[in-house]
Amino acid sequence: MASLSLVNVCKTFKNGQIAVKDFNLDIKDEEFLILVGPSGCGKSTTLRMIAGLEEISSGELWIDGALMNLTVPQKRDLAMVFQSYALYPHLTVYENIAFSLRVRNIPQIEIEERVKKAADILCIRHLLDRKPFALSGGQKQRVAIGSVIVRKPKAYLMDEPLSNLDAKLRTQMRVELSKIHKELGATIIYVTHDQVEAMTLGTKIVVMNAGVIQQAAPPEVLYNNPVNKFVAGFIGSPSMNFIPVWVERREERICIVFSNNRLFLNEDNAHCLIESGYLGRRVYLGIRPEDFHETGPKEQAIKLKVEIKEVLGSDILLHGKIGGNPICGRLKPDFPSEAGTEVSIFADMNRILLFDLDTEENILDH
Amino acid sequence: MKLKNVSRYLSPYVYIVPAIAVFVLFLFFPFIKTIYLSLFKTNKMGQAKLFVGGGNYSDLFSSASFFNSLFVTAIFVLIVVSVSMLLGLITAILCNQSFPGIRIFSTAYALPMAIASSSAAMIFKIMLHPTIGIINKLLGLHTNWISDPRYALVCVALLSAWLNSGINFLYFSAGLSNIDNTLYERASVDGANSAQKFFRLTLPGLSPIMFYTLVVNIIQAFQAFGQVKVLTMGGPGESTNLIVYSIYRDAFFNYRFGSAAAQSVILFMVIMILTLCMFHLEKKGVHY
Repeated sequence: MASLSLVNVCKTFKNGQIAVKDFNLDIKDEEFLILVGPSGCGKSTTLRMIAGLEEISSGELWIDGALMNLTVPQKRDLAMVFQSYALYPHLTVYENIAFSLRVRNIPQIEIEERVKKAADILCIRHLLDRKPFALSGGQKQRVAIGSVIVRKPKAYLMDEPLSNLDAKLRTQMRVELSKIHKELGATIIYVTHDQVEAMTLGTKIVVMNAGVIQQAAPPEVLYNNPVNKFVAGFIGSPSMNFIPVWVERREERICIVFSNNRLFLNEDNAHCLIESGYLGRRVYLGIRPEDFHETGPKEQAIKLKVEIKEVLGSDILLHGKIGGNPICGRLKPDFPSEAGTEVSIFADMNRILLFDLDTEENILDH
Repeated sequence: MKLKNVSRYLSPYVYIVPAIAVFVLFLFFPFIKTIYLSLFKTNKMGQAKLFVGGGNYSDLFSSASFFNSLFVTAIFVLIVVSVSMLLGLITAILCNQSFPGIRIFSTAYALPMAIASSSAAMIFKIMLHPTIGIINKLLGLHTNWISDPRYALVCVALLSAWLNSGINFLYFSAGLSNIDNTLYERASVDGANSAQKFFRLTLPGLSPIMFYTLVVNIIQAFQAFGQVKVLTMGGPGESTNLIVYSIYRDAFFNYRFGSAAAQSVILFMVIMILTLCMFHLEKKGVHY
């Protein structure tokens, strides 16, 4: 396996559209790196530039200390799983998996051994004689993964490999991928727009937006300490609630005020706001649905008129609006609430985030 | 009530009457009439006069000229099919890229299909002329291409191949655009070079269209006529006397309509058997 380094990588298409801007990233050996972001944010383009399928407009790509900008894909020694699986339709599963070995003139005995080993890892040994058209989506996906793990490349590239699967199969395959990562000790660069996949699989996540890296950090750091409103909103499901609030001093304490609600900040956050000169200014309050509770001190209470109640079994989601801003709270299923009623929910003030109204950067960045 | 049922039963057939009528008049009737005539000696008006049964066929199978026709046709078909398919494939692969001016090349490669075979033959006749022809001028030769039995068949075959290459270019272009580009991308990352991609991806991917093109080309090549008529008139000697030209000569020069009809039936049988064989082999070599 190998380490990769992208230095000031940019991609500008012929029509002038900038897909990736100043991409700087070091990917360590055996890292499971996730590129995540909304559609069109440049994550697939970045992956294709690493694979050599897309030319790098400017910047440098280093793999194991060797500059790879001008190296053809055949010589980069990478393996890639495509979103559409890209199985060769005229070849059997066996031949699909063996393809990359055959073109390298590896002896038949070794091919046989490696294909069977890969098939065993993915539990597809009984499918080896089938053609791709006779496979289900999940089986195709396994074959596509089999086709890459049969080799020992410097890194595995995966472009939304689970996006065509149903929810149950996706969950199952996520676990399989995690196992494969551990078993092979592989460097994996994985593209997805699904933040659940990103959080569960990655050892490091790169959140992208409009071709620019927003934040590159381990999953728990992204979740607890996002650098800006975009990352905070993108990571977490349902996504974080944002409410524009005033920062004021009341009863000798610092609080945030919005739509007849008043929440007192804890000492650390209050101190941080005063230090940064936000007193008397407007900021965004960010609070995750799971950081609302059924009970708490009265000063942390928020009145929410429930518009929709979603029952998830283990939890309920209450949707409503505060001052025109949509709010979602995740609460316990026995919490008494019905659509059309007003309920009091309690914000966990140690878990809130505050963002600058203009730059949208995290004011409480720890 | 009964009348209503009858009309309901018959109405679907009424809709297919026009199509059936055209088929009967222009396809089934001439086909059956040809088989009928092949069993007779005819007069100069092409009317069946004397029933000879398989006589016309036995005459043909004892005729050296007929066997020469079959042999010449086989060579002709081999050259035309292989060269025209190769030309079509190469041009289609060349044009399967995107660069400025690609449409000009595409049009140029597809153009032969828009040219009538007799017009093309006229132009080739001038190009192959022993004294003023551009071919001799370019090669610095004084060869009489059309009048030399060694070259005449090859010249006619190459002209036919060029004419057929236009439609083959279109078929192969359509076939190539059907191959998912992601497969080539995967092959690149898998480590396949250009030759491996061509033999392991492009050719298998083209196999359905290639099979169809092969069948159509063989049938077309067997039926080549215009270029022979204009360029060589079956000569020199009988070196370009393809079976269709032989049928034409027997019917309209020698007024032996019975013999010509028998040759037509044999040609039909040959094409049918070849096509059936190819459809049988299709299962082994064609990947869908």
